[in-house]
Amino acid sequence: MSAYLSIRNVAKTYGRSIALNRIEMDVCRGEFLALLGPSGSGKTTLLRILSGLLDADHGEITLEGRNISRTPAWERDIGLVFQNYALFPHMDVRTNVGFGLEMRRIRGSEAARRIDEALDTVSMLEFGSRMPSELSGGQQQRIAIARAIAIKPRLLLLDEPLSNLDAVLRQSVRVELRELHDRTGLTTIMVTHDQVEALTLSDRVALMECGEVLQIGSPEDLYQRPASAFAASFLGSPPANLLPVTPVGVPGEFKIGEMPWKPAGSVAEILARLTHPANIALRPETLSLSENHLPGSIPGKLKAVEYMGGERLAHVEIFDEGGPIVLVRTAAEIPEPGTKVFVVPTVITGLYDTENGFEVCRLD
Amino acid sequence: MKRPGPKHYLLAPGVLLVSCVFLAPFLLLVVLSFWTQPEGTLLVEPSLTVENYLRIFSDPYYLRGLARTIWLSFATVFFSLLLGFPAAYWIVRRAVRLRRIVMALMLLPMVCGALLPTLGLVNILSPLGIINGSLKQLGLIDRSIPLLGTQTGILIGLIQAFLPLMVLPLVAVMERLPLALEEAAMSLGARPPQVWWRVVMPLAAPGIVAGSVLVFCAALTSFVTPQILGQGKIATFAAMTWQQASLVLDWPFASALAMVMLLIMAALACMVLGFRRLNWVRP
Repeated sequence: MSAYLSIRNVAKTYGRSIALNRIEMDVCRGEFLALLGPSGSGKTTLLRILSGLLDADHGEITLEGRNISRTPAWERDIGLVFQNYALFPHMDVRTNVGFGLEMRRIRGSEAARRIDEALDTVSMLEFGSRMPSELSGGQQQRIAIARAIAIKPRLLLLDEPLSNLDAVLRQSVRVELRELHDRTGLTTIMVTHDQVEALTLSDRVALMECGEVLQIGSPEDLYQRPASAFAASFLGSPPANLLPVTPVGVPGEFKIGEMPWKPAGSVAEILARLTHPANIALRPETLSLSENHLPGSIPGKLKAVEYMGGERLAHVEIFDEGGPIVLVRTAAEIPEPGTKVFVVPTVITGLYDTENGFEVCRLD
Repeated sequence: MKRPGPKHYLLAPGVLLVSCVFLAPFLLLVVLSFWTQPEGTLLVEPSLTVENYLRIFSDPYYLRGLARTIWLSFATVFFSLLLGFPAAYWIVRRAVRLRRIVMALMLLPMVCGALLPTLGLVNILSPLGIINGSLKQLGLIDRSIPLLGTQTGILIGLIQAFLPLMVLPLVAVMERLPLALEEAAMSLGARPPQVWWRVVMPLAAPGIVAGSVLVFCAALTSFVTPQILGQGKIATFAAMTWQQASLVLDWPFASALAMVMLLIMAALACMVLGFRRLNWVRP
């Protein structure tokens, strides 16, 4: 399979700190890919390298079979939408949108037609003669997108596209962005630190941390089968609980920390494969609470309950005072804080090595 | 925003000083320029006549002096912009660690006053100076190129003296330009010269105008630099004014000459205020 965009062995260091460490990635034509990670994970660096605004130390980027690693930004035909939009303040909307065409010496009626087309795509046709300072943040963003797609880019890059919008607007723009992508068919790469954006918008998510791509896959894949402890503890709101589990040598018996635990059901079946200590990931919404001891349950004390509208988030201190806190998210009724409860695990999301954080074995 | 309150009295000492040593003499200058000094006397006669102004604009000596001074000032602005714009851009975008040092070095000649750097330039520009000496050593010329006592020499001196007045406002404006604007232009297909021409220059326009006005006014009224580098052979308007005031002792006429320079600067200031309305941020 030859990918539309392929990134091979791309690395970048700033002085001694590694911004990107040997990135390998393939993107298909028409795909919407999100680069997701905390700040400092290298996602913006990768975006800037793709756009040509930053040179990689080494590595190769191929777009449509052509090596563009050494192509300057102005010859790449890559549309870039900046976090703060970066509209030219001294030009009206039409001149902004037509800037890329002007640079390509496309003038007159052909330029006018393509500007109309781009403005129409973002439903901003009637704003052509406004100045950027006369537009709201959301409108400025639409113009920034129109400006980037007017050049018919081979790749569209979005840098934190929703971060400067308020919460209400964010949701509607999210839907619009996806619609725009489906309509134009542009191969799109988006940088975001917001997991909801990444999971809702994209076909695939590349989870990045410390200059490396930890996992790349569909949103469902990433959420349900996180390949590392980091992925499990980054995705989800709240993210997965990680508990240190050690086999004690007797089949079916384990320790969580120093306390004995005897799992049951499918959880016990999966843990039967465990030969060394590992961290197990339990998603808060897969756990339930019981006031009576059930097979496989973990005893604890309810510390606090947060009402989230429709659901509640219970903070349970398992075993004794000072034990690890386990979060349980449930729509069921929850007893008063201070009550003795039992946490009932039903699904294990992942088993991770205590040293390197990667999966001990693949769960299917 | 701080409220303008009773703190206005903080201005008083400054206002007092400026009133005594600048405003009062200035008003005297305006009045004096309409007075006359009968031929052969040193006494001034109060009157209200435009005779002095008519004399300036009918005598080719003064008209040529005025034209020469304006021309030199324009040339100074042009070359300061040519040298200052790339320098300012470099300071803002490239000189990360060197920035403070570069800014300090640039300000140094300004705080030295006009005399010291100009005397230094004499050594560089004179027939036996560094430029002519090196060119002769390299065998590029046989005879010295006359630089001292020429307009070229004065121009070099003026550019040297007033370049910081161009660079400082440019740096101030460019600092506020987000780098993302230039990057956006590049991603849309603009090569670096096009980025400059279509994005940086228009957005730096307020700084270009401010710097140009500062350099123009400074060059128009400069006295020491043209006097020394011109070796007294080239009379600029400021020199003519000084001649009339200090050598001929015709104060009314000297006042009228000074007034002409002031009016040129006032006209320029009005044009700049008009330009502000053309600024890219619409109200």
